[in-house]
Amino acid sequence: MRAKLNVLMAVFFLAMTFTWGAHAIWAAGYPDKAITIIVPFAPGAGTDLDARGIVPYLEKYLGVPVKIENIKGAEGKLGITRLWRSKPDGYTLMIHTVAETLMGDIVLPNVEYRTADLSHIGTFTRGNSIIVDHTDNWKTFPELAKTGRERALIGGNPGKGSPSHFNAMLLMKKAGVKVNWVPFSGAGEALTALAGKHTEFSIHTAPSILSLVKAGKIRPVVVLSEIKDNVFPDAPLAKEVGYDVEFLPVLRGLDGPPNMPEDVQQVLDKALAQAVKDPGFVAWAQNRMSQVYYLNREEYNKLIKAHLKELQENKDVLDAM
Amino acid sequence: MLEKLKRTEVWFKLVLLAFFGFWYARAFSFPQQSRQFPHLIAVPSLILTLISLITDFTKEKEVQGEIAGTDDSELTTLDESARKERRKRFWQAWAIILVSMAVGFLGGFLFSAFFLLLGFALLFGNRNNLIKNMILTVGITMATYVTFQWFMDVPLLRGVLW
Amino acid sequence: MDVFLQAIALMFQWQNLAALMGGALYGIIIGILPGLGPAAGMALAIPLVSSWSPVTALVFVGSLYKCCNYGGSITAILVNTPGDASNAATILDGYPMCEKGKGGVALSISATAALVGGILGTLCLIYTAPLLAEFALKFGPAEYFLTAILALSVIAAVVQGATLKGLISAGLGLILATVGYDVITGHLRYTFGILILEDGIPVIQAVVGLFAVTQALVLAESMESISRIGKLEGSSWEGVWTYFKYPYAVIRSAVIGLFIGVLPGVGQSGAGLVAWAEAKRESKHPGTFGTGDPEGVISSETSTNACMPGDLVLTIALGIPGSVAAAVFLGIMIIFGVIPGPMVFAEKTNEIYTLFVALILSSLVLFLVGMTLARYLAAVTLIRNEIIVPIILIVGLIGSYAIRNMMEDVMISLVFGILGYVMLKGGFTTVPLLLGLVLGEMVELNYHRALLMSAGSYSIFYSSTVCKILILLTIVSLAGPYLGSLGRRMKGRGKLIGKA
Repeated sequence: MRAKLNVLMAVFFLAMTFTWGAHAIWAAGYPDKAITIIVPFAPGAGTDLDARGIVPYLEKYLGVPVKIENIKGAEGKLGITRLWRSKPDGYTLMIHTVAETLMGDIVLPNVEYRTADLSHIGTFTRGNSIIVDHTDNWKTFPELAKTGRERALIGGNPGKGSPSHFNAMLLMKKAGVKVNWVPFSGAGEALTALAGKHTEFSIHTAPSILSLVKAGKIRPVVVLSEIKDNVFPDAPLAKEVGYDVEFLPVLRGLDGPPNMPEDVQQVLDKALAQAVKDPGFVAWAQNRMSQVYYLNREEYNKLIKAHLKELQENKDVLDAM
Repeated sequence: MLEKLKRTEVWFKLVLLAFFGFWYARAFSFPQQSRQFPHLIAVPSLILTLISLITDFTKEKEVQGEIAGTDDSELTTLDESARKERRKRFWQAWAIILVSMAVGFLGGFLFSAFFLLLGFALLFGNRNNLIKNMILTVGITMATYVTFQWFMDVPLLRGVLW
Repeated sequence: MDVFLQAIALMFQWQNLAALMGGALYGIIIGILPGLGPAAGMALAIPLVSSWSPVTALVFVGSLYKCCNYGGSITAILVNTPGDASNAATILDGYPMCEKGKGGVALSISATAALVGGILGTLCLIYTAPLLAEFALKFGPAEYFLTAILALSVIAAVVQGATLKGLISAGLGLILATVGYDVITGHLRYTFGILILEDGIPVIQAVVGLFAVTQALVLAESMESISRIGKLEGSSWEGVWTYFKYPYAVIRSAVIGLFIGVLPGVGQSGAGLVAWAEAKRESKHPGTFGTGDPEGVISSETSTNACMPGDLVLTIALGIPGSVAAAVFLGIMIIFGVIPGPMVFAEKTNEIYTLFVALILSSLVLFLVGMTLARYLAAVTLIRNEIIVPIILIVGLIGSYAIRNMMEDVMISLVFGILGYVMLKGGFTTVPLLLGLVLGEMVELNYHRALLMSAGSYSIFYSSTVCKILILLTIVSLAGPYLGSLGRRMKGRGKLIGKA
């Protein structure tokens, strides 16, 4: 009887050691070959440039080659779907704009994936949605809103279903402003329309508008965020002009297919944490005018839940899009 | 009458009629703004195709290749055997293409390239050139690999099988 | 003037010269390999140049961008396969010239066009960028709609002589342009659940199918090599002399290319096509276009080469990228701290002016490279049938494949190959289809946008000055051929009356 118990316990402990050991060995073995990061947009797009900024540093801290594969198409769905279907072994990952992908689930037709179920590793840079208008138009948001309550304004957006559009609609709803939205295909077209005064205001992130602001053609009116924008620190925040609304930031995140093993995710998170602190990356981000904004796995997962809740609560805005 | 139906031009126009008709019908399920253009284009195109088709049957004159740049060779009188020969080559070419594509789907585009070269060299080439063509087949396949997979990271070996 | 002297001095520092040559060659190679365009090429270059000085980096990337188009012209002329959508029009007369044995001539025309078109475009960029930028800003959705209509009206000229079939072909192209995600309503049209169709029928894949695959099938049937006469005729220099025999075509095409380049979102693919169609429209012998008329090659090539500097106008003057490639270039400029805008000329004089010099010199490099290679490349047209057919198929289909690494794109090309072949045998020309496919989205999208802006009022289409000018030009374009023949008839009557 005693012997049997001993054997059982021995087996039990052995099994545990084995499992723990195997895990440790396996985790220590990751990564041992090149990693591919999918970017669901064209080369040169905002997300792509940010990805190209962090990738060299990920390579440095992971010790393996990391390469970018651009898969553009169908408003990002092609790339995201490819990731969704990939093996969760840690060798296929994705860099994307978090809120955009999350909204895509809900707003776009014919979607196969659930963003919330992806393995969320961390975020690394951030931009803010800024409402800009032509320098000949209103100087402050209250003025803009006042006109907007009397007649419908003509607003441009860089694409239906973008977080910028959503944020702006939230604000306009709170301020009671009526808008005729004109959807464009990308920031370039929307900005040209604004600069030529074909639209009265538009929503963009800082890097896209810098040149035009410096040229004196447009001005940032209000920043749709809870923190000051790094490029336009003087531009007022929405709550400073009286509208305390919770917005979705434009964050770049690193994700993997659903159900990636814990230890693999840990390794990646650790490497990301080191990469964002690397002085080379910090300098790059400054040049690129992106704000470094690191959220670790836990925080990132919490953010996703918060976003989802926000989107649920504002379903009417989403439906109107 | 039925003879005319065999002509490429005629049955193509019938296909076009069906195509434009389908396009028009399908658009009814779209929201109002999405519907406008498909309707706007489909209707005149349908009418024009109909007119063109009717003139094919009513006008007896021999169809000329009116537009510079189109291949006149079907329309100029070829003897029956030459025409059969061309048809045969056309279907052979398609067979080679389809097999190559199937292979490519399974194993990756590099195999498509190889099979295309192999197929055309074997079926279309002269006996005397066989050795030279085989060398070229292998050579060009390798060049394709080096240029695209190596230099440009285009995945030529990505297929359903692996 | 001294800014330029300074820039030229900078240019001749060895690392900048090396960057110029390197960028040019890299660009040409990327261009030859179908499916890869300047955007991808520049993005790939980012890790390479990131440690260089801003001047050297911009010289490299700038000449890469400039030279990318040329490689595509080479494949367009020799094997009927465009390297990028912008080379589509060069196929129309370039390939038939090869069939006539004049491949070398066509290639040298292309090289000369690269030189002249590139220089003309760059000079306009340098001296009139702010003006052009202001002009571009006047174009809102209503104006874009009218511009697209104007471009479409050129189709009317292209189909002269076989109007019914030509219009049907155009209708088919316009209809196919409605496939995909409708930006205005967010609705998916005619995609049947197929994810890759959601961005619409991809233009390059369709062009590869309509021209390369179709041509491969035609060749397979006929058992000939590309050069139907079995040898090469004409020297490389013949191409250069021929080019300068059509000064009016050169200027006109350069202007068309530049303006299409300046307007954001119009797309370089339109530049060559519109210039070609306009050349045919104004020609006294329109029938020769599409059979190997050198003026066709001159027009389309000059236009696309003038288009690229136009692309940069808004990018450099106001920091607004007008195309995907321009967006990459803009991104690179920003990484190096060169923020575009009116001040950039004063603040970053060295970087900007050396870039300009680089653009001009890279046009020269294209000319030299093109002329040297023309004779050797033209030999491709002599390769025997059973080898050239699979080569055309491989080059074309790999192009379709490499764009998104998907076999489905290859299938699309094959489907269009069948379509092109059937249309050919049925006596339809595919050019109006191409024009409809390329311009359809621009027509529809901007129509709806304009109406959204005006809350449904149609007055937006004729209120601004630009609108009125565009409408006038369209009427002239449509009525033109008829006015021409009317004028001739009147002159004839006048002569009779005079005699009587």
